[in-house]
Amino acid sequence: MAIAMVFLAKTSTSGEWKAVSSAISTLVEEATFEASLEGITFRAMDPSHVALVDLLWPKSAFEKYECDKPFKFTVKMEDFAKLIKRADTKDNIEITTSDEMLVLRIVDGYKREFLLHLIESTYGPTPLPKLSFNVRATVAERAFERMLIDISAVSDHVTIDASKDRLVFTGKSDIGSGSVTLEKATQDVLELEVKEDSKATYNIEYLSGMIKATGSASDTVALEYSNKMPIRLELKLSDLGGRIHFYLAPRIEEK
Amino acid sequence: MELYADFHIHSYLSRATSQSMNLDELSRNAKLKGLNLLGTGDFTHPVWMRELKEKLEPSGDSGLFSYGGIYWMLTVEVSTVYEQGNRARKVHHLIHVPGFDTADQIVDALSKRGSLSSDGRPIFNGLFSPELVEIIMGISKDIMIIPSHAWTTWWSVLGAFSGFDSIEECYQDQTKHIYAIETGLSSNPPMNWRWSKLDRFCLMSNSDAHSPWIWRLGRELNVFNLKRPSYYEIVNSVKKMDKKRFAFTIEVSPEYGKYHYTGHRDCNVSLHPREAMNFSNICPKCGKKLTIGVLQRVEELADRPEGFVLKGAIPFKSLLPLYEIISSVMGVDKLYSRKVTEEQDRLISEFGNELNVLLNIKKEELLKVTDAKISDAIIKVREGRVGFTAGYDGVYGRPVFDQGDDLKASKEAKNLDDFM
Repeated sequence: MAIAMVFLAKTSTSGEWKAVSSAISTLVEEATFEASLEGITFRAMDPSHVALVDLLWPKSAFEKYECDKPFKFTVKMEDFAKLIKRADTKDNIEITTSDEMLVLRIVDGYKREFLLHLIESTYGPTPLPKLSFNVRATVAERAFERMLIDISAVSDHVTIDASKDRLVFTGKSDIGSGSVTLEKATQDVLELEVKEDSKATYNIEYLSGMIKATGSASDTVALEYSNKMPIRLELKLSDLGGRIHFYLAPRIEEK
Repeated sequence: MELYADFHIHSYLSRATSQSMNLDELSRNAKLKGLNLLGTGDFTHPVWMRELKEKLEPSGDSGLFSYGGIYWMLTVEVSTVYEQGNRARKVHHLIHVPGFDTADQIVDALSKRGSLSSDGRPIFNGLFSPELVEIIMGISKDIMIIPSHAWTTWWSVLGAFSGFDSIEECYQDQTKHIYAIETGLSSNPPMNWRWSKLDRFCLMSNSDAHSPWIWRLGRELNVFNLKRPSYYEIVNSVKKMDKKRFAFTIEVSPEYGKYHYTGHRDCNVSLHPREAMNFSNICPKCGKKLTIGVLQRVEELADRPEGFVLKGAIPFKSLLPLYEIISSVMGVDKLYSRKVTEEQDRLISEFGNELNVLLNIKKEELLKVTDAKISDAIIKVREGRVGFTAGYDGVYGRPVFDQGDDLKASKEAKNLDDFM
């Protein structure tokens, strides 16, 4: 494992790290971050290859960022998340590496330092799915989360049906059905571009996990998809930049 | 010579088997199926052993026998039940032997460990799997012993409820004698390729038939291409994983198997592993524990993504029993239907045997004998263009033909690899 001579990534709050940690923990048990001169990236699929998380965290989004050469570091997410949770929202977070260890400093006047063993990565590179999207919508995070809770009352899956003026979310099961309609140009749907009417069904558990993971860091969710194709959710990390993309495969349609 | 072999069956002397599991019915149905080599099963049972010795003729020094126009290999499945690591372990093993002398020695050795006359598939309480292998392989190095239906929820080496987390954990130092595993109906080779720990084991497929009808016998089988039929050549080709001699296996789609999905039969609850795990493996209708299916167990142990192809593995083909195809097309939901059987028999009578119908006969030829829907369904099965509602908790899966092409498309879209 090649460790950089100089590496430091500092944020003025803990929200971004909590969001990143939570987003990744939702899908995988270990995470290999790639640090370069430009910032930090991460990409991995869950073991069933149904969902993928893709993180882009540019240098400009950190309060302070130093890295003299590209390198990778792998952590066990359960342990990493446990340490990140020790921080309050307004705490500074500083991460460096040293001798096969990740050094995490939490500073709010009361200084805390944790050392976490780095581990060997067991996964290879993860490619991105090749997709073009016919629907792009920016939805208020609260509205999207509320919709998922509503539809989950009747189904494990939500079907998203996009047309020019609205997004209709439906769910159906043995017990009954339900629908939620979000109209364009309202406080719930800030943006809606539809090249072609599109409909696809996704697992609510996965979507909820993704939204909950990043809810604290982002007020909006950008969703992109096409007919019966994977969905991509984009969540902003902070106003300074950085984003997390979640990809989720459509539901298997069984008779 | 091509050998179409089903090594794992049971005689009428095993529990819960058909009274028609005798040598005459078995050889008659094997020929209708297209099999030319059957395992005898149950050779440790004294009554069955007597019948075998009376009727089977040694086929030279090949280690095989002949009767009723087909070849036979002496086989028996045995069950070991014991406690290890504070858990009850129940493992089935399939033993293949080259002759009656060896079989007699096995009978002698095992009769000291339990009753052989109460069940064609004897159960040995307190006999550890490695101990069994040591006893058996101490008799002759020509014997081949493999774990039966390795993934099945109960009674298997890797099963969710009484199995182990690896072949080595079960057989310990005696793993050196284990060269193959029987994959069982609910798993197919691609599922097994997902776990690197199985790479060194040859994957074999058998029916574990409890009745002789051709929708049970040979529903999974092994195809060998040998200069002459020989026990020793078969075992050697398995040990070497030699694709020149061990040509391919024939599998049913794993969704057809009774333990593919996780579920609860009493509540008609059938779940994909992801959904089952969301419910913490508890039945969402009644709150009882779900029966963990093979797909979920594979998912737990796999270290490779879905779709991984193991280089050098024995090839396989996916089929379904002709009876299942016809009954599904006709919408008949009965274990035995005269209408379905007549259609099946007409095809077999015209084309010689069921495997020939399923594997080789062109659609235009099929159309001369049966209707378009059945012909189309046979071709769809051959080409893998058939959907399934997956089996679970002892319920067989069911093929779905009417939306075959659509189903294939949607089935392929089950994870992100399909969009890479």
